[in-house]
Amino acid sequence: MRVCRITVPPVMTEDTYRMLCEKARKKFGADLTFERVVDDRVIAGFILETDDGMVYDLSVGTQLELLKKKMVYEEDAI
Amino acid sequence: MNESISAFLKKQLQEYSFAPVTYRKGTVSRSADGVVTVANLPGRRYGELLEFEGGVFGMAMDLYEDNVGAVLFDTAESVRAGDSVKGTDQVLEVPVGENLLGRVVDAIGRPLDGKPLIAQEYYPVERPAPAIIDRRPVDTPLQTGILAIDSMIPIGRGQRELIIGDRQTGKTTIALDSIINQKETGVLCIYCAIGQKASTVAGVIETLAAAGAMEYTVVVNAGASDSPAMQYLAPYAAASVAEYFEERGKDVLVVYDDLSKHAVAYRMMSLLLLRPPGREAYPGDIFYLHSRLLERSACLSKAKGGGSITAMPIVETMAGNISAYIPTNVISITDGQIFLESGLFLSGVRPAVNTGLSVSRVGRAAQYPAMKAYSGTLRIELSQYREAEIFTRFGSDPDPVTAKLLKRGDTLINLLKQDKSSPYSLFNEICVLIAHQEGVFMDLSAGDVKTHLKAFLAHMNRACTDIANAVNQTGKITDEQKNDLASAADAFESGAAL
Repeated sequence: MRVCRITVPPVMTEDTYRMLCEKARKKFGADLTFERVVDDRVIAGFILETDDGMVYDLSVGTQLELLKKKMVYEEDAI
Repeated sequence: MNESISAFLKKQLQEYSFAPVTYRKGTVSRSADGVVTVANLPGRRYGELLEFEGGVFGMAMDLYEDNVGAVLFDTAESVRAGDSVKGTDQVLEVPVGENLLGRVVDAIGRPLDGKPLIAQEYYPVERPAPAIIDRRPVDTPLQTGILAIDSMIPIGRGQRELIIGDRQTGKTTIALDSIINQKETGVLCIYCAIGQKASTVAGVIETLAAAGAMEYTVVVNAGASDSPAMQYLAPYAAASVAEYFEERGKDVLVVYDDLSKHAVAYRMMSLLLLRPPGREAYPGDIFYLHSRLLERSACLSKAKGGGSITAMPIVETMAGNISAYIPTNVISITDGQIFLESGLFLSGVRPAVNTGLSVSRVGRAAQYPAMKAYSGTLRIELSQYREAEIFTRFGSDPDPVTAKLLKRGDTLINLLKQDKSSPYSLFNEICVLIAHQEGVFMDLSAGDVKTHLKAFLAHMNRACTDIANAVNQTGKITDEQKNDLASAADAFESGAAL
C-alpha cells in the first residue's frame, strides 16, 4: 500500500478533496491511499507528496512566495 | 510615489506566469557539527545545493544508496532531525563581475561589508581547470615590488608560487605587498582569507584600503567562526571570481591565505562525514583538494583572451618543517616556493626569505630583461656569503678575499631588507642592485645602509628620470643607460650628491 500525503487549505470542500484523490490515483496508481493534512499556509490549491519523495506543489501560498522573491530580487540585488 | 509602486506591482503581476512547483524531498535523519545525513532524497546528485527548513542551505558531499551526507553553509542549530530537505537541482554558484571589486564577500558571495551587491553573473564554485590547448607558457612578469623576490625568485603571470613559513614570519605581508604593488598595472587581485580571525581580516582590509588597493581587489572571507563547509568553499569561490576576469583577458592575482587551514577545515568535514582518515587523519583526496584548485590558475592562450590567474597560496609550517604532509603536497603542485625563515625574521632580515630553499620554476623566463641584467649572480653571491659566514663562526681570521666577500654579502643582506607596504618600482629595484654592484654602500655600517639607501634612490630618480620612466614602462635597459646609471651611482658614492 502506497501512502500519498495531500496538504490542503482549511477551506477545501470534501467534494473537491475526493475529486483530487481520484485524479491522483489516475496519475500515480490505483493502490494509493491518502493522508490529509490541513495547513492554512497553502491558502488555496494543494501540495501532493508521493511516497518516492517527489513533491508537486500547486498551492497559492508557494506561488505568492515566489512572486515575493521575484519582486525583491528583480534586479538581482542580494 | 504610490502610483509608481502600484504600476510596479501591476507589471510584476502581469509578467508573472503560474507554474506548478515540482521538487524532490528528503528528511534529515542526523545533524551534528554542520554535517547532516539526509534520508529518502530521490535523484540526489553530488555537489547539489540542498535547501533545509528555515532557509538554511547545504551541499551534498557523499552519496549512498539510501542517504546523502551533506554539509551546511550556515550554523547547524536550526536544522533538526525530522526536518524536510528540498533538492534544488542546482550546484552552488557565486556572483562574479566588476561589481565585486572593492567588496568583501563570504564564500557563497554574500556581501560582508553592509552594502548591497548587484550581481552581473553567476559562476559555479567548482569549475574545470583550463585545458592544455587553451594555455600558453608564462611570459610576463608579475612584479611584487619586493626586491628579494623580483630579483631572485621572479614570479610570472599565470604562475603558482607558494609562500611558506612558520607563523609570524611575514607570509601575509608578502602577499599584501604584492597586491599593493599591482596598483596601476592592470592586474586585479583577490584576497581569500580562510579560517582567519575577524580582527586579522579587518587589519588586512584596512592595509589594502590605506594603500588604495581595495579599488582593484576583492576580499573573499570564510573566517574562523564560519562553518567548515564555508572554509572549504572559499578558495574555490575566489577562483571562480578570478576566472570571470581571466576569461575577459585580464590578469588576476589570487592569494589563498592559507591552505593549511583549508586542509584542516576539509579534514574536519571529512571526519564528520565519516570518511576514512589517512595520514595525519586527512582524507584520501586531500592532494586532489589543492591540485584541482591550483590547476585553475593558468596563463590563457591569445585565442582564449590571453588572461591569466597567478596564484599565491600560503602554507603555514610548524617549526620550519617543510616536509610535513600539506607543505609537501602544495610544494609539489606549485611552480615554486618562497620560504620564509623564523631565524632570519627574528634577526631583522625582513622579508625573511631563505633564498637557498626558495625557488621559482617558471618565473625566470618571464623576468624583465632589465632585472635579469643585474640579478644573475645574486643567488650565488648570497650562498657563498652564507657558506663563508658559517666558517668564520669558528673564530678564524678571514683572509682579505673572504673578508671582502663577507662585507659585500652583509651589505647585500641589508640592501635586500625592505619595510612592509613599501614596494619598489622596477627602476628602484635595479638601482639597489646597481648600488650593490658598484659597491656604493661597502664602507657603511649595517645601520647606515637604510638611511643612505633612501637618499641614493632619491638621487637616482632625480638624476636619471628619463631612464626611470623608460625602464618602468618597457622593462628593458640599453648598454648606454647602464653606463649612465653606473656613472650616477659613482657620483653618489664620491659624495657629489650628498
